[in-house]
Amino acid sequence: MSLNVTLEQVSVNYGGKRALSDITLELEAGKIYGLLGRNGAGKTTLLSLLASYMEPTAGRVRIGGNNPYEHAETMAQVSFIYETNYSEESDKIKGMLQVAERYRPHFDRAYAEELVQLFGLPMNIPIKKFSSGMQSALNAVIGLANRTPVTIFDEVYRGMDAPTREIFYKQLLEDQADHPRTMILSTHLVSEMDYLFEDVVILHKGRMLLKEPIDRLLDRGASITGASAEVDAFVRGMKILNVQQLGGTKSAIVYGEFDEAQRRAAASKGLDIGPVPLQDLFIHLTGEEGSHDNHSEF
Amino acid sequence: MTTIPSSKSQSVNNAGRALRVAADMSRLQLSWSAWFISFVILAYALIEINAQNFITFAFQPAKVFMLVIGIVSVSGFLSFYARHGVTRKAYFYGSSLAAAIVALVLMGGVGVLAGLQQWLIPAPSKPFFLGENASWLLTVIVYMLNALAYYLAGYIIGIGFYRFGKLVGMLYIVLALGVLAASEAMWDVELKELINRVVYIGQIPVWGSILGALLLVGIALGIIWATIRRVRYKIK
Repeated sequence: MSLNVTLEQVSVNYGGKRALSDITLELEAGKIYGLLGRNGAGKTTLLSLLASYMEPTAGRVRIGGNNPYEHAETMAQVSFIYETNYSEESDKIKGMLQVAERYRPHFDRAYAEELVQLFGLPMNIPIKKFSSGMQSALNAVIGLANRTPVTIFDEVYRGMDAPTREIFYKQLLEDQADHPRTMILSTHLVSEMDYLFEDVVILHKGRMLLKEPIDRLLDRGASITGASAEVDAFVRGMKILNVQQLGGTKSAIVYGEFDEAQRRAAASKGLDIGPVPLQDLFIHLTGEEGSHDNHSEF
Repeated sequence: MTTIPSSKSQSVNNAGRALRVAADMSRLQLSWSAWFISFVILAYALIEINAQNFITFAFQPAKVFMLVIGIVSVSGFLSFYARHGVTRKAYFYGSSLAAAIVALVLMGGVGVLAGLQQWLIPAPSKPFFLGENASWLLTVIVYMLNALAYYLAGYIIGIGFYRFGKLVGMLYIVLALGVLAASEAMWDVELKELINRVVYIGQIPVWGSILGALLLVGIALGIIWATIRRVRYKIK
């Protein structure tokens, strides 16, 4: 069974506001997608639609060709993992895994127990007494071991320390290699997680900004470094995302692809064309003067 | 990539999911009921053992208990099952079945305990509102229907607040109070006499009250279903 995800002209109004506008998007089965967007861009709303937590106001959502909303089989095949409020959860890990096993057709109990060991989670303590990092790790365990054809991790790393996050990313890649599924990773930790993504989807203010394979997206950005005047001349007419100057040296980040002739021209003028990290591209593509969250956790 | 990554396979449908939800929810709520009944027995043994029959004593607290677990069931279970990919429909059927199972086992248990008491030490007084000669079985069935109505009233409050928040939630409290008032009225001998004084309809037989109570359960379930079927699952 292949579970492609498609959205056709999907809009969502929520609380008197438009949370998503006219989203058309196709996610092919078996790939890892990075979903990026600033706070309030509509990421969680989009993911809620896929998990059937809500219905679109307009447009169509299809998973494996079915409308997932209230479709028992499809809903069982979609895991939506997010920071869960476990403040009243007196059950222990064993109980949580048992429930997942009962409701997820492809849940792998042995793998879940292996992950619990890897993350060093305690078996005998009620989950409400876990630290937030441990609770996030438990969510990661359930999300991975569910092995659902569509698996969504919405900022699931919250509270995890750096080594724990590394374990999570490593396991995610390894298990994805053995059991490919459509994985969607929504994150603010762009620079830390960009190597996981095959394709990148960027939402901005409720609209689709782009969806591209990460290599192509990275090819679209370049930093041109060299003498100020030369850089200015070279980037004239290009879409400039950012400029930094240090003494007589300038570095301009531009958005657009270069052909061989342009590369030769740059080299002949002593300009250096370098790659731009995804995080920088993302910041510049979605950053606007006067936007609200210049201090967010990129 | 088109393969589903597992060798294990199970078909998924709403009926199967609902039965699992019913089994899981009733198991947990029955474990709470066991604690509750233990406390009621203790209270009865300490203060009321000579004053009234156990079933009569346990009835009022049991109704309150059912109301409370009905209210908390929604916030406790709905988002939980959402996280496990359960549909609203499966949750509705599963949780309603669980409510019936809890009412059945709780009041059945109370009935058995009261029967045991009757057998060991003859009770000071017989069960009340069905009259002196009502059978134990009938009494227990009536108590179950009452307990179920209380649970569903709680469920109405819980789902109203879950979906609409405080303001409209208050209206759901009014709806729930309506269900409770109607449920009480079904069995209220004095009310029946009062009605008879206005319009004489004669003695309403017990099966009439049972039918009325079943109808009330149906109405309560209808309110819950209308509210839950398009509810937006909360991310929490």
